[in-house]
Amino acid sequence: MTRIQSTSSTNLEAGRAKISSSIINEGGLRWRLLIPSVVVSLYILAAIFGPMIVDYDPVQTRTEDRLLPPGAALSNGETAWLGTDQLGRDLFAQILEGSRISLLVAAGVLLVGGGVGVVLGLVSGYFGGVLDSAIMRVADVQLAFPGILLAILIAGVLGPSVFNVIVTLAVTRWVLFARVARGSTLATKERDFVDSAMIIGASNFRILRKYILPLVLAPLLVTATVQVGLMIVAEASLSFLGLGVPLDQPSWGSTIANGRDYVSTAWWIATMPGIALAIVVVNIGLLGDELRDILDPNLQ
Amino acid sequence: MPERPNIDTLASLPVFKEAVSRKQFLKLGGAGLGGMLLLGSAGCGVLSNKGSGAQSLSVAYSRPIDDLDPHGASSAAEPTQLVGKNVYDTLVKREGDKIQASLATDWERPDEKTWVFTLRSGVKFHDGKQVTATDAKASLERLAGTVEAPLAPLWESLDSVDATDERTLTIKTKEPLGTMLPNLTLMFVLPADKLEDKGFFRKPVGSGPFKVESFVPSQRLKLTSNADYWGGPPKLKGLEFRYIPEDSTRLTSLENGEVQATWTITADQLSQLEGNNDVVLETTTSYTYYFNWFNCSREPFTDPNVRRAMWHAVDVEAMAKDLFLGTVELMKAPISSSVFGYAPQEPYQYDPERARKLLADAGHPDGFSTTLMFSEAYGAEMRRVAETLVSYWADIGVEVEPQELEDAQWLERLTALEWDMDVQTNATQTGDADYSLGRLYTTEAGRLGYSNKDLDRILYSARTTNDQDERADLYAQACNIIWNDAPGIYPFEVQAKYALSPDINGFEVAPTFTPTFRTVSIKA
Repeated sequence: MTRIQSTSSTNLEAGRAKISSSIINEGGLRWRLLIPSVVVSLYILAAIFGPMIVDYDPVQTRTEDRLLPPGAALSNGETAWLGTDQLGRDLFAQILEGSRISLLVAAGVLLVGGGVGVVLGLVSGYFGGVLDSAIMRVADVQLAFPGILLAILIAGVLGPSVFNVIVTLAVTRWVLFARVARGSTLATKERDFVDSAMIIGASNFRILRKYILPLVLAPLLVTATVQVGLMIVAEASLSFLGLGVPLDQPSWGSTIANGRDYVSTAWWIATMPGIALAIVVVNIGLLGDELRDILDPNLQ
Repeated sequence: MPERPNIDTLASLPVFKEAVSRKQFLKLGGAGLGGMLLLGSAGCGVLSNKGSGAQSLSVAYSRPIDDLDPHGASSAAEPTQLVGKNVYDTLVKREGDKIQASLATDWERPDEKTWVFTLRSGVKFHDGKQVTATDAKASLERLAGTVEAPLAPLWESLDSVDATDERTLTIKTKEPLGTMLPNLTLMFVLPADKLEDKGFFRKPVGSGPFKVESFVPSQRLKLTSNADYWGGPPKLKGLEFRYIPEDSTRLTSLENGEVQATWTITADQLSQLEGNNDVVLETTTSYTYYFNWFNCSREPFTDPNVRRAMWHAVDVEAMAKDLFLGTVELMKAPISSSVFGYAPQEPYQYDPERARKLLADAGHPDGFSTTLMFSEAYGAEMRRVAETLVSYWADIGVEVEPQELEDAQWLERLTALEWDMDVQTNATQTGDADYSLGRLYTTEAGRLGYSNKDLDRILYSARTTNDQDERADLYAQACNIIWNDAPGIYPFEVQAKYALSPDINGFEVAPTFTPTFRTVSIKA
């Protein structure tokens, strides 16, 4: 029993060791991992603490300060480092608030969609048979349904709110997590230590939790990292179309939408959140790539 | 698991066999770019309208054209009236302050309650049939009798309509109707025998200068010219209205030559147009104004002091200066200054202190929460107005939730009185105060839950007399009552701005945003 347990836990430990040894690798820093990690960490910190430091009232408009370029002085003496929007609201503060909303949505969808997807994927892969077919057919139907249409439906029926955005994105994204989990489960359940565990009478739940889940986590982590970037873009797209967060919450997407009419005059309104979005998503993608390279046993 | 490609396998692919040198890359890239530019400019030359002698005019229009029925639920909608003025005819039409003959050549009033119109002879519908008094009778009866038509209340006192002979129409009213002529400027004459045909309004037939060629609701309307038009054939071969809701896209399509006319122009876009020789800007005063209605049948707006407080909390001068950059005029009455019946009132001063005090006295020392709805069809400018209003009200402790609704949904809630506050624009399309004041603010109208018996009496008297001076006096009183009672906030009236291609001749600016295109031509 000890031998069986140690195989799966050594795998986990090996994975952890790989990541920490990768940052300092062969005498030099692994830049391709370090830089995206730093950028993403900064983003998370900014999203959590930024709005606490920089005050932003989404309702307050100051029409005398509208459409000021980056670096201009506001009427109350402060500087608008990234300019102001069409109603005089500071763009820097707006982008910080927006980062919180995109982080919230990404975390929410990961938890809900990811959670549901992983559970369904594990169950589907492990038990197989009718259950597997049923779950995968539901997944296929889900994938065939255009995400935007679903978003329109939900926004139309329930109205715009952060919670509804999370629901919409979770409903369209759980399938990806389910498929990755199912694939890994199928591969893992053939391995010897799982057989041994079954022979000695471990319950299905115990096997899933202690033996299969740890090995599924590595590819899931990669999927999750990649998906987070896409979810942030999806939330911005929904808000851009007016189907996401309500008017008084400054999502990056709605700020970009507001800047649409000013692209040739007050270009900073649409460009600044766009740059922030691009930087965050690209770095999350790079991070995901690196993690995949590190954790993939075949590339060792 | 499938074999993962590694660096070695990738390097063995034929694409990467020969390293591409920098020189080769630059050569290839330069050639490619040059080729694209060449193709691009050739393409632009083919697409541009200039110098090709094309006689069709395209308009980038900011509102969707959903319904071509001028007697139904869209009878007061600007898009429907825009099409109506080009495809159908009315008995009379307004030119500035005066009413001129159109389908009717002459009219008499044998007594206070009877009007007799003589119709023009030789006028044909687009399908060749003669236009007779029977068609006018059927059209008027249909408009007056359609319950959901917002214009029907204009005809409340209609008693009977008779086609006394082929070219004579006799209209009898229960009381004298002082607004008979202004109201008739929006009564479009359609063929009597086709009015009830199913699907008629997908490709309707009228007697106007343009015929409907094809219609995709909310997207595109194509008209061709009616060579047999009684007023002289249009100079254009065809006319097309495209629905382009984004302000910047409309302007870009004008600058590109894809369309030759567009409106509305927002204040922020004016700076783009200044000094641009490819665009001609025409301006005139309009009948259109912004207003923020309170649902006077809902708490806390049942109390006029609360409404007045909300008005004092808003700095309309700052809004006009900052948001509209001077393209609007401050209103001094609940209707535009160019409308018959206008009488200036004392403006509400921007005074948040006074607003807070009024609220406290009215029993709301801590403010209250409410909602503000508006339609997305009015564009991004309305959103900015709504958000600025919300900000001013937040300053006096009133928390307002802005609700931007899709157009059809907004209209439904508006007529069902399922709202607290509504901000929109409207136009007094007949140029006569009765159209706005007499139609919307009576107890019977039920448009905003407002009821004032004195006002009802005044509006009734103003409508039921043919003495225009007496009417002007009565409307002055009505303006005063409505302004003081504040069933709505009336901040600005809009200047009608049209952006045109410099190749256009003969465009008649309309204060109603519903211009006719019969006299327009494009320089070849």
